[in-house]
Amino acid sequence: MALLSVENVSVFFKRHLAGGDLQVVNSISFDVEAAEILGVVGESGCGKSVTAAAVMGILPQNAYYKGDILFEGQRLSTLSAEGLRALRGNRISMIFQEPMTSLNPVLTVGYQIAEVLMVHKGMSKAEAMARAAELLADVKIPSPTLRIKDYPHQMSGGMRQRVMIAMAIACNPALVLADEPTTALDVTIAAQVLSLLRGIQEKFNMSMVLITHDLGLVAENAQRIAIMYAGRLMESAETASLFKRPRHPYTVGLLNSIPKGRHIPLVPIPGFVPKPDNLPPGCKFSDRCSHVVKRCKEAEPPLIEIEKGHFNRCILNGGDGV
Amino acid sequence: MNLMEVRGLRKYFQMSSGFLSKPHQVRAVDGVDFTIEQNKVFSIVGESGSGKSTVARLLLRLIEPQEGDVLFKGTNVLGLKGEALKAYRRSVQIIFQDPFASLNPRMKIFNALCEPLKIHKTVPKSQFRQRVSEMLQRVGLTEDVMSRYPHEFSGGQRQRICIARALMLGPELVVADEPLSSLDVSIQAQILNLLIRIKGEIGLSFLFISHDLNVVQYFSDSIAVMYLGKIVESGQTEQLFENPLHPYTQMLIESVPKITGVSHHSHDTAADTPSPIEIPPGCPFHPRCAKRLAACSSSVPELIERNGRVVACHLY
Repeated sequence: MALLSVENVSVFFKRHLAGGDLQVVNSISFDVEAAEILGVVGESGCGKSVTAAAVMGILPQNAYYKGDILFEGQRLSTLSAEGLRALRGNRISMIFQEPMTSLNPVLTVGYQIAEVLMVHKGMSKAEAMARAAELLADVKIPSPTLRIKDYPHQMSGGMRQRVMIAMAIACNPALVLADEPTTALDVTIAAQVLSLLRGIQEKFNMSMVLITHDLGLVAENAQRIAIMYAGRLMESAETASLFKRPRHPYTVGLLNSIPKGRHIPLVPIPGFVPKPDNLPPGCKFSDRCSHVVKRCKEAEPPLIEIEKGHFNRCILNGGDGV
Repeated sequence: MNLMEVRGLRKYFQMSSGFLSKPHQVRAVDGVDFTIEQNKVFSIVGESGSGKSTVARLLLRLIEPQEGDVLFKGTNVLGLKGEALKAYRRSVQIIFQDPFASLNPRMKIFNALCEPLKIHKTVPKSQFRQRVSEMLQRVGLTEDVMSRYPHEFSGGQRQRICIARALMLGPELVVADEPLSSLDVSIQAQILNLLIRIKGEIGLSFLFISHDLNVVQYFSDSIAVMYLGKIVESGQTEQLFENPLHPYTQMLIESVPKITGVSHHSHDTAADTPSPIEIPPGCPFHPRCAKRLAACSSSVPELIERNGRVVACHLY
């Protein structure tokens, strides 16, 4: 049984308009196995962060989801607010993109880590602070016993993201959702933070959902990759299989958009990322696709398994020169 | 031919943190030399706090340096005043990182693009419309965007508008300060190809500032790597990427996630980029350097020529 099963999840934002509520995620399904890293890749507005928020139960007030999210066999929609709170930060935790805005500026980092332990593990403050120092050492912050007394503003971006990681792993969670964990960091610091995260993930056998726009990042770290576009899953496969033979024109387009070296021509995807309230009919990528045929505009292709473990949502299915 | 030559450029910022505390100095740009050749792309790469954007501002004379010379076609631009300064600014234009913050939300695109023409009075008013429409076509937009407001456009389209605005006065050098970093991957490639096309069409030169090494490798002819206000290595793009000499350049190149899978880096150090307020003594990179020698913590390495490029490292 998968650790996390997302089954036909759609996310909506409430609107008081004639068109009804705005759908930003359209019937997404994926599983995360134990000790696995799943990479979710997509551009801004594709619904990748909203999907994570739905799993975490932290959708904004004006949003709701339909479908099923099962964690360790438990249907999350059946849990009470109390039950969800017991899960969040304990069995499932999250690392956000912006370490400055996700830490409380008026509390010491030590206390913010200790709080997680006091709430979920019932530790006393002294015990929790001692454990917080150990956790800071785990995320390789030098002189942790001194640094627990620091406030977030006294730390650099890389340090703050390490603190976020320490908070996320404090209760030894089964699943960590990392939403663009290194996007706000410099390249060399990003590489450090990611190798740290990988080390911890392997050591504690955690599962991780790595949400990013960077294909290189998932190529290096994820076992499986899901490519999202316009709130849909376009292609998903084992990492090696996806990079060896990407089938969906969008995946191919993304790969061709990354500069690979001097004098190797760059082939961008034309057009721009559509807004969720203004999607084209049929295949949602059809207006930007260079392989588009008439059938693409008529009906949205289903996500089909074209090879074991390799799913694709395209009627051309990697043929016809895609 | 050298279009721009920069020598010994220094900019220190005074920071006073409180009433009783001693004011301290941020050495944002600390003795930088480089040249930009005609119709070439010169890139500065570095992480936040390396001083790369300060260099851009200094060249445009948005801020004034403490020391150094900036020669544009042989004339020192730092002393320019009045009409001469205005003429210089016609030749050197900038594209900023965030196209959302660099367009006035209350100005229609037509007015935003006419602004440079109005200020510099290069063409009579009767030709404004034609100029704007030509420039919009050049950046891949249609004429009808003229009567619209910035909020109606996506990030990529706005960046195109900003590029059009930078080109309105027919500059010879465009300073592009992280023009792609707020855009989506698929849009980045579009803008990059646009810049390359424009460079070929009108023989522009670029000073391109970025932290994205993939993009820099693709776009530039030569590169300077900056670290805490100093250039630590510079040379031709191919050379620099094939055989980086400075340990920091090596670290930067290794840190970029590769789509070929398997990561090559092992970054066990927890060392952060030091703040530009407290630059370490000796080589500024030595606390993070795996190859440091005894000399690295005490003496600052000079830039020396090595295999056709310059590097500042005690290893060479």
